[in-house]
Amino acid sequence: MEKKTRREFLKEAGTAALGLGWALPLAAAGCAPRGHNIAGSQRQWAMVVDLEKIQDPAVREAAQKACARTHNIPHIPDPQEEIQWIRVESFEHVFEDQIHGAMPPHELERSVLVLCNHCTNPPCVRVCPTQATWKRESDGIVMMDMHRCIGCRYCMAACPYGSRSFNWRDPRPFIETDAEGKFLSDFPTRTRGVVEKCNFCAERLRDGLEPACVEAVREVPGGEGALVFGDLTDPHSEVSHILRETPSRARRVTLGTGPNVFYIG
Amino acid sequence: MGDRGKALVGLGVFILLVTFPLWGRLAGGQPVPGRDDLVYPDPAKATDCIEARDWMTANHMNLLNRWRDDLVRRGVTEYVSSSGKRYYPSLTKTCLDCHDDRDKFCNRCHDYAHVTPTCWECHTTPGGGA
Ligand code: HEC
Ligand code: HEC
Ligand code: HEC
Repeated sequence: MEKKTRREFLKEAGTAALGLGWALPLAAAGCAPRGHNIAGSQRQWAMVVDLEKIQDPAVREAAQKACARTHNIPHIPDPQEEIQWIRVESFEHVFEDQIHGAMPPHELERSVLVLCNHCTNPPCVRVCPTQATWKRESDGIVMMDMHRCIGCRYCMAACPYGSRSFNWRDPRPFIETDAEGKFLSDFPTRTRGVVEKCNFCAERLRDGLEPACVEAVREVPGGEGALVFGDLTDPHSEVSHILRETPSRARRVTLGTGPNVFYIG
Repeated sequence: MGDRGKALVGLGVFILLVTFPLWGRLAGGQPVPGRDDLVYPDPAKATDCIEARDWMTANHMNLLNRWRDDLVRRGVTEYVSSSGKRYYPSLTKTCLDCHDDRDKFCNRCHDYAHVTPTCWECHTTPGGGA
């Protein structure tokens, strides 16, 4: 049998998928139900970000660094090609639908950590032609299967939060290594041509560990509680408790995606 | 001895020669595991693969596909072999933990068979090796 390289295969598959291209986003737009409904998953992991505490740059850097090292995320300087699982953006940009003229500049300029919202109704999942991304029923994580991703980037177009990155080039030369040139983690790197995003550290949860960013901020003085992770369907979890007791916000809730990353403070 | 006899002897020798790879090994010429072009795990570490060797030779790619889907898609974190042993379904953490010389085992055989799995473009060797 004539063997195709991954790239050749993807090119052909991509051409075939173009035919579907116009229809999928339309289908997706029409059917997102409103409001927050977590009935579909047995559990729903969620994160609460404390905006006060992440104003310390050391806290934000700890979270980002831990994420990059855990998942062998490349550091590509060109903003057009960078790969980001957890990014920093301004309040003004992140909550653009919630700002008004009377807000003081220091509020608008606050730094916000943004990551995949692991939506209850994820639009990216609806548009994926290969089920390379799906909503895991057992715990609500929006998973990625790198083996199935054909790099069509519909999910990136569908995500209203810009949570996904595309590998425009081989990421390996841009991944941090130790003195012997070894990667810092055995989490598989990615290749040119696949989309990636935050996986709520599914691989660490499997081993009974918390997400790397949550663990890392706790080590920074003043970072305790900057990121809190837990099960939203459990009324006794810390996230449920915080969200009951404290005013909170989430990104672009009127879209009906049901984001599961919340912001307080 | 007539021509017929000579032909029979010749045939016998021929058959012996042709089938040498089959009986030669039984006669104790080669250690088990038996391919001298491949580097097997140190017998102190392991003498058996996850399943029987012949099955592994023929089916390791299917096993890997199953492990991949089990772990990534179905959230299954254990593989029970037909002998009842339990394994964590990971290419790097399990297969390469035993087969620690990837170049002289997986790759050497694949080069010979002219197959080029793309797994190593993403999967590392244990300890973060490319
Ligand atoms: C517990 C250690 C161990 C693990 C884990 C392991 N192997 Fe093996 N493997 C061996 C040993 C030892 C042999 C030689 C067995 C024999 O000769 O009976 C072998 C043989 C094989 C063979 C046959 C080679 C031949 O001579 O034809 C293949 C293929 C193979 N392994 C692939 C794999 C793959 C793929 C994985 C992961 C899914 C894996 N092995 C996991 C120890 C291991
Ligand atoms: C005894 C020789 C041999 C050894 C040793 C071996 N393989 Fe293979 N492998 C093959 C052959 C032959 C094929 C192709 C089979 C086919 O195409 O039907 C293959 C195919 C594969 C495939 C599927 C490739 C594809 O393009 O679909 C994977 C994955 C794979 N091997 C992984 C491994 C890993 C990992 C190891 C080492 C732990 C290993 N193999 C060791 C002979 C070997
Ligand atoms: C584009 C990158 C990429 C390629 C190419 C790739 N994988 Fe993976 N693979 C991953 C990622 C990412 C995971 C998820 C790791 C996790 O959740 O711990 C994974 C997980 C797996 C797992 C389960 C977890 C583990 O540690 O092994 C198996 C088995 C696996 N892949 C097998 C393969 C095989 C066999 C090939 C080659 C035929 C392959 N993969 C090619 C990225 C890749």
